[in-house]
Amino acid sequence: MAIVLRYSNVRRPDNTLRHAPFIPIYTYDASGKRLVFDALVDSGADTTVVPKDLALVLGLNEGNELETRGIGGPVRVRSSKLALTVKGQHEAYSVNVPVLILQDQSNIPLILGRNGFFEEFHITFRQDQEKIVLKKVLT
Amino acid sequence: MKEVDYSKYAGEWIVVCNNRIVAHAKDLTKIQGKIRKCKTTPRITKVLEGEVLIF
Repeated sequence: MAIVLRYSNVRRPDNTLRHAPFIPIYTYDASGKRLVFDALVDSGADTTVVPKDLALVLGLNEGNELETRGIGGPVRVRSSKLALTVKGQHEAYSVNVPVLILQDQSNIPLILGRNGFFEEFHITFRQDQEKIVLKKVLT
Repeated sequence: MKEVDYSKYAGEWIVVCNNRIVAHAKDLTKIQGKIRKCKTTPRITKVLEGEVLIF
């Protein structure tokens, strides 16, 4: 079985619509309330990246501050873990992924990178169909 | 599938509860109360502002 999810619509400033591989992930906030977030699946990102305000809402524990480099240059981050669930119509899988929490103001969504997530699923981007397919890796 | 235009919220987080936007803000912590008040599972999205190139 596999989870097949449609790309989300993203409207650009020029008013055109683009479709991008955002998927719903289920997690809990600091009070234990269940939430769904739209996360961008990014095969070019080593690690999942969480904006600071989102990390605060989720109550993530933050490790020591590190400096890492993105396309835009160096950024300050702290490491943590995020427990998330991906759901299809007939199946759901929970994984605990390492994340980097951005320490500076940012304008990015939750980005699902490879470490801890791509090991768990065989992921296919069906760009022509604007769908993403997640098939759980059997261990 | 119906396409929803969130462009007026560009650069903000939006919280959708029971298919209705109940809160929006640039800083998600500012609308934490609205998230908790939602009686179902709220869906939270960051509305992008232009092209996003990441990491």
